[in-house]
Amino acid sequence: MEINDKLLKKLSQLSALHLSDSEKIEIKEYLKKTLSHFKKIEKIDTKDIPPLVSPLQPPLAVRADQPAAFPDKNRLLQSAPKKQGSLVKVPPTVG
Amino acid sequence: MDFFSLCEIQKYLRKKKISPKELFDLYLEKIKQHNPELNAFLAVNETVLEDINFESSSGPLKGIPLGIKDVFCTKNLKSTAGSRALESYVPPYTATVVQRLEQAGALIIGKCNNDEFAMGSNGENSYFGSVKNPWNIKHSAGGSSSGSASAVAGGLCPAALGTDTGGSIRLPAHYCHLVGIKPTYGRLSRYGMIAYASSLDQAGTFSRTVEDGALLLDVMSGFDPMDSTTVKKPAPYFQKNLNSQIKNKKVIYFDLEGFEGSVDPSVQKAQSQCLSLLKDRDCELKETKWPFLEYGISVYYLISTSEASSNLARYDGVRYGHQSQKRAKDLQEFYAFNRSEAFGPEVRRRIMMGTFCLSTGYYEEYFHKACQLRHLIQQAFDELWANADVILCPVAGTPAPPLGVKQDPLQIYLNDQFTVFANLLGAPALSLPVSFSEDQLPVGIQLIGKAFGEQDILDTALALEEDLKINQQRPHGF
Repeated sequence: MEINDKLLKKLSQLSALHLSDSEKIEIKEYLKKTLSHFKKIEKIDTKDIPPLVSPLQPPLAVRADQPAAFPDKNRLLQSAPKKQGSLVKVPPTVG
Repeated sequence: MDFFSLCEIQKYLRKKKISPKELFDLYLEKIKQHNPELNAFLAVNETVLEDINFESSSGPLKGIPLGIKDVFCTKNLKSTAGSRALESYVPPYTATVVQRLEQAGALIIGKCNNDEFAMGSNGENSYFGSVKNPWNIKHSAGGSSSGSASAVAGGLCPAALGTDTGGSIRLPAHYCHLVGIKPTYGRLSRYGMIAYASSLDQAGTFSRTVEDGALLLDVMSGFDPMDSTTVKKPAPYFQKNLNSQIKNKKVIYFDLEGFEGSVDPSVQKAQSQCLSLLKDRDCELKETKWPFLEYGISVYYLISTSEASSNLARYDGVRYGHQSQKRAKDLQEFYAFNRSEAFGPEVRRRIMMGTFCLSTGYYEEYFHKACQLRHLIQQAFDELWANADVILCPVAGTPAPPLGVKQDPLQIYLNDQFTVFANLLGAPALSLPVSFSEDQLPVGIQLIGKAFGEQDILDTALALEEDLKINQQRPHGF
């Protein structure tokens, strides 16, 4: 499996992660080695086999799609790293 | 009394031989004495007694202190998931399973350390430092529910809550001489459990005895309208139905040749010992081949890292969680600064791997293919279950490894080869203490059941527990 710098850059952008130079080398090696081990799954013929994404058999007990307000809005706001009044404050990122 | 089982403590409390406050203070003292060394608890809830009216409580866990893995949200009590990302996070609500424990009268004595976002097998990936094994503090307590296992093994609390995505309860239980139970996927609510891999994560228990584990599952089981993946099933009554008469129980096991990596003689011996005891109990034993054995780790890690990369995308540092002080030039850089400072190396690795598996051009080849193989694995085990009630196999190839030894991540992943199948299948599984290695490290055995077949594995474990006469040991110095 070819893990080149271009692919690594794309993955770090999609993951929203900055990697240091040493970490780039380490993760490139990790992906190369681990994926080449995992690649053994290609040996199994899975043609026409539906994917299993949950161990449970559908249908699941989905509740009615009704919006409900969280009882304590201020309590939610307390978790924000920065806030101003009843708003979450973020640093300026444009301009 | 600090090493009594939960059911023994229950009797003492009911007969008023000890008060809830005396019991709580006893464990609090143990935590103060040993936690600096073990690093099992990240936070201790010293004031919990102030909010409880014991006179009005009649639940089965009335006055019993429990440790809770720090991936469960607890209202007004910090819940960090072992990560800098949530270092100061105080949730506005409590996880359903914790709420049910509290409603049954349990006291949440503290939050237990764990590998960051439950990713790890050795308890060395927490932002808040490694957890030590009370049986030998130079050795791992296992992971990812490292603190929960260490706390119970060290007598810092009588039982604890953990989570198991690929073995994170069973492995620490094996390393720490405890009963560790991962119930069927859907048996316990995941609401308020900080997600790692949603189709694999399941809450479960650490206890000294099988009966204690059964009692805790009884309290927590059942449908939760806040989690659509919980199933509507009648109350299980595991504890009441416990029965060690397991004559004719169909038990299958595997030849230990052919597993990736070696299987330590102490582990092989534990398996042989248990098989011999089950034979004496007139169980029907059958050796068979483990289906898709060499593919389990690949399928598990391709799926779990994919789900992790998706689940952890929510940590942007805006509404809660770690926010960087660096000035970003745009929004993407703002997110990247926050996330890069928030996540440790193993979490970053797994996010990168999962992002790769889900990205255009690789999705079909990796994630989709792994999910198809998961289906084939389920079909193969369905065939096995037609003639079996319980699978008996090791939890891991070795007892607890020493801490601080740098290992290749892939080698660490391969250590999960015996445990990941239960998660892929959604099947119930437990780890039962059996013996000790030549180095005096605990060795356990794993029992796996069919979906919603907890009673089969609990009954078999109870029979083995009786025959092995375990649970009487305690680690030196604790």
